[in-house]
Amino acid sequence: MFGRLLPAPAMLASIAAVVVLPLILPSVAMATEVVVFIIATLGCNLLLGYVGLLSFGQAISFGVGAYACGLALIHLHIGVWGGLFAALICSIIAGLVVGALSIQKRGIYFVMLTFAFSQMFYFIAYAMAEVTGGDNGLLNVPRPPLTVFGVTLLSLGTPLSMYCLAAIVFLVLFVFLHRLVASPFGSTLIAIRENEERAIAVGYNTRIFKIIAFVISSWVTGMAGALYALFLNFAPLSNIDVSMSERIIIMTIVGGTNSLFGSVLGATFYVVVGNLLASVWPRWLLVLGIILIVVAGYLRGGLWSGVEWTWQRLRARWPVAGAVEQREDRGGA
Amino acid sequence: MNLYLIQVLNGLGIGMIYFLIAVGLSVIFGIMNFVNFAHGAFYLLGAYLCYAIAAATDSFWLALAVGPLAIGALAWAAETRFLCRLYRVEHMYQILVTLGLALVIQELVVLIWGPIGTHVSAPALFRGVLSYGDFAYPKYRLFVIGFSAVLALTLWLLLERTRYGAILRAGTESTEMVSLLGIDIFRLFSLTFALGAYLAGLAGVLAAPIRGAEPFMGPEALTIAFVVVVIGGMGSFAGALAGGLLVGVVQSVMSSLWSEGANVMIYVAMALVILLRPRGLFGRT
Amino acid sequence: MSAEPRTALAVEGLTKRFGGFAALKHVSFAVREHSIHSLIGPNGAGKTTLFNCLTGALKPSAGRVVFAGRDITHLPPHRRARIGMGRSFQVTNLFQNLTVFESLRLAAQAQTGLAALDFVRPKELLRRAVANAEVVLDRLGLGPYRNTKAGELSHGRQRLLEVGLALAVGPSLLLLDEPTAGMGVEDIGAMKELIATLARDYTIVLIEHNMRVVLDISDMITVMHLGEVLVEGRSDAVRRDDRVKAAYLGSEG
Repeated sequence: MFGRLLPAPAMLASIAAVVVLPLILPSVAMATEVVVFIIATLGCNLLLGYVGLLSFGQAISFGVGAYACGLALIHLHIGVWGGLFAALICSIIAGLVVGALSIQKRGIYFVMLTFAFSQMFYFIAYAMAEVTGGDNGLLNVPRPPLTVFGVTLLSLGTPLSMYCLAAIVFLVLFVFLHRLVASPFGSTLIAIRENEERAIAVGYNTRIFKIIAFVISSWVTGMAGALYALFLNFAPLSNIDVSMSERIIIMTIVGGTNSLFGSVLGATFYVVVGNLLASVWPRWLLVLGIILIVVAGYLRGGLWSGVEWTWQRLRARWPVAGAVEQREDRGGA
Repeated sequence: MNLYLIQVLNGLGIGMIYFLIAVGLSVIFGIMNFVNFAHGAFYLLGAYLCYAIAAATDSFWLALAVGPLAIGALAWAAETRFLCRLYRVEHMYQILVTLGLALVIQELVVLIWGPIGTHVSAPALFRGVLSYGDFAYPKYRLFVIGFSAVLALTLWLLLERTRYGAILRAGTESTEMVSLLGIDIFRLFSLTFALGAYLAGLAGVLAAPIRGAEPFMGPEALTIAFVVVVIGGMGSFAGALAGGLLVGVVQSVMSSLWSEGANVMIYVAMALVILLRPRGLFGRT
Repeated sequence: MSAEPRTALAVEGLTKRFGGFAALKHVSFAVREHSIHSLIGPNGAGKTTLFNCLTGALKPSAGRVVFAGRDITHLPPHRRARIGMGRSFQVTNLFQNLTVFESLRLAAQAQTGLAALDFVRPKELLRRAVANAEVVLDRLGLGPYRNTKAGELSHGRQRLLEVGLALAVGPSLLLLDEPTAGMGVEDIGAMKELIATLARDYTIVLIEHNMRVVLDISDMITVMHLGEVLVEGRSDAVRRDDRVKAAYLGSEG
């Protein structure tokens, strides 16, 4: 079964995206930032798009992942693997605690609960200044080379090699999530999103499924946080601020919650447009605000649905015989 | 002893302001099932309109009278133009659109008045402190407490004694019922949204001489409003009042005892309320 | 082979109070295996409350529910499906955006235990679930609609799918809540046939308002009124019982 990791079109598209980004963007550093947030958005999309849960807890996992990785590298002097592993453990634990408690409630209460936890973690991080650096953030996060049994795989000293690390983590997580949403577990998440009461009636312990999804989402976002700390050599307090959750949620919805590819679009759009516009006009958030209003009002499938629509129009005009159709299906047979 | 008295008074004052912000949010959610992330922006506008009108006309009272009305009108326009299309839609889109609106308002504020905050003076009538022997307290803060109390009473009378209030209260129980009774539900929603925005703007005007006006004060106000609404109970007037005062006083007193803990405690309380008693102090099940 | 028919489901002294109001008062009855047992009664009789206690949506204030010899009174709803109780809903409660086949496959998948947690393999490879779904799809005659979204089906076929989701769980007991609700005459006939044939392989507990259907296919009827069992017996007995007539006519007066 491991002969083919992903259907060819999906595999090609994700590899293409990763190869193309540093080429078309103004800097490799920006490309790295894009990939970091693509990963964070994927984590959010799993919960929002596939389980139907709107959580404000992304900042918790993002921040915890960043702090864990940074602290491990600074104090434990373990390599990059160690940092990533620390982020994995800590974000999973945070996800388990927050998830198990938040899942007790549904609807707006669930949302508010994750909001409360997000603020809690923020103020705790702020208060534990000796550990986290408080308002100043965690400074001087080292970026040692990536080694395996003493052999250096990536020096991580250059922007390009840092990008490669981010890209590899992205590809691994993307394959993992893509398979997950097509698996029995993923189909159950979709069933819960569609009609939780019915899912329970046919025999699913939906609580367990939701908690597991929350933990996986937390882990994925935590990995993004870890990469961000490596990238910046710094873990700011803003990582764990609820506005970071808002940012990630915006990227997720604007990109499109119908497909994992939406996350790629949403994060790319937000980071690129944000960086480019911000350098031209400091009040670029005004444009973002208008975009949000337009998307919520008229383009609820997000940018990805716009892409799909265009693709379908093109295929209608120029049908290609025997073309392999890759459809990102959320719920069909 | 004096310090605690001052902190309690501060807490009451800020608590009344929290109440004014929260009551609008609570009713908007209670009646319309609409999550309004733009509510903090109305508060922000209130503070800035206070600054602008007071600076232009040298009259705080004019700002108090006119500012919130302008904000209410703006909210009415926004609601009838595009927000009303989103009542049936999932919460995530409501959050997205109101976040967008909040961003637009915030950035317009910065465009017009600059990114750095500004100080707003209290009205001449209430400048300075009131002394009682050893004890002194700013007159303006006392005014805020008194004025807000009167306002709370007026709102209560509006809710309990007028036809609109009765419709509003019925609406928090069932909008279906209300529309079946022949009442134009969309007018009700527009009016409610505008009223909520008016109150948030009023809170901003009142808060400006205490806290100043600063472009990024919206999100903080919104966050506190969520806490108050959850603790007090969604859709409840008494809840918004009790919750606002409780949060205000606790926050104020704790800030002199253990300031970092104060903030964490507030959100722990919010989480505990949702987990153990979701309807809050006065909300309906 | 024992000739004695066994009890599939037994309700003993079931009571449910909501504050001061008793919706169910010491309700007891037994459902024989492979029979069609109907619950009828005028509005407010407590049928829905009783049904909810059977499915686990409500916890009774007193009394027991015994399924296949096991006390399931406090078993959570999702566990009941796993031990063999499939249920349908009175108000159509489907996976609106999922296809008919996927809906059935999901219901079947829930019974595969830990296999449902598999996050690596494509879901089509969970052959047990796919096979069971195919069987149910066939039985319902919904084959031509396998790729139609549940929300796009006609009302009659949606009601069929409702029953189908209960079937796909691979139960021994079917709890059907007004399966013919809102159906047209031809569809009702088809549903009636289906339920009658299902009784060969399953035990069926039915809430129904359609008296024709109830009287035609039921092996046993329990008539409820004001939270209590009024009468219990076979179709002809119930049809002629004066107390039943009084209960229905009285409450509609």
